[in-house]
Amino acid sequence: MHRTAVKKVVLENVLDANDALARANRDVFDRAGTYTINMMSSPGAGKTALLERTLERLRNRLRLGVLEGDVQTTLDADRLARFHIPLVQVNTDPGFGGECHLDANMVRSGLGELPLDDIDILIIENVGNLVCPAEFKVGEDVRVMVYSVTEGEEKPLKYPLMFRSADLVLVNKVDLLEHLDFDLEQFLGNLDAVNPGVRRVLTSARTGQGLDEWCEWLGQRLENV
Amino acid sequence: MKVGYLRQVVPSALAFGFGLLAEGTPVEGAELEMEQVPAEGRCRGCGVKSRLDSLPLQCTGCGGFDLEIFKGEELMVESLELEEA
Repeated sequence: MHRTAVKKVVLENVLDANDALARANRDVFDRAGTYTINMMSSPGAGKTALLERTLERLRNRLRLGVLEGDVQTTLDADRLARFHIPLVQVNTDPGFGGECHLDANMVRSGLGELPLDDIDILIIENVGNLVCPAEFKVGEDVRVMVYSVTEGEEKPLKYPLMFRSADLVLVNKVDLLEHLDFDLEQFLGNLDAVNPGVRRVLTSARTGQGLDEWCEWLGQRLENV
Repeated sequence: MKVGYLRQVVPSALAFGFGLLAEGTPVEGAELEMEQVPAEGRCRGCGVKSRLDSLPLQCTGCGGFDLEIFKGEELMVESLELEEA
């Protein structure tokens, strides 16, 4: 049988579908006047603990909402439930074996449960992972990374794309520095090598160090809306 | 496909996944051709354009790290080659 090969030019971005949904999410946030933060880190860096301390300080001053992303369980949402803020948990496990990140569509699936008109700042706590979340926009205004000093100095060099995409880095668990061999200066040098001059705040969810500065930064976001 | 150096894509894993997904579909046996696109950027310090082959991304002129990236973030289906039966 005669066969003819035909070449068709496509030029389609593989992530177009996600990016389009992320823009749609962003439109929803903008219309509601909700400033949105995509919070990313390794598992166990202290995102939820920092959120607890943040809510203790700010819930009477700012209207905060949280979208929790996890592969499984509602453990994080349960920890935050006592603050009586708008809160929704998105589990990624109905995906292909449990997605290791939130994508724009998963975030969209949780938005119906959030009263966005009554939320000044929505914090989207992404799935703990230093790789994939960096690839998927969810409609956020900014990206905040939580990095704990127990993770070593070299991670910015090993996972440069996430560190490069962060607008603010919270260097967490600094109360442990005296017990660790962690070289803070070396870490900050590595951070500057992949994201020169990125704003960083040294924090401890345990002692409260740096939380004033972080909360002040959060408050300033609203002045720019 | 064009796959930029700055995308966190492992070409062999992408090819493996493509082969699995294609099984039992009209594109079973199709070949996935990948072109890897190196990263390029312009230094905000000295203005030199560099090809960036390793991380951290660093200007080849002055060694600076503050770069405007204009190539290497592609993840794109560029064209399809189809055969009429």
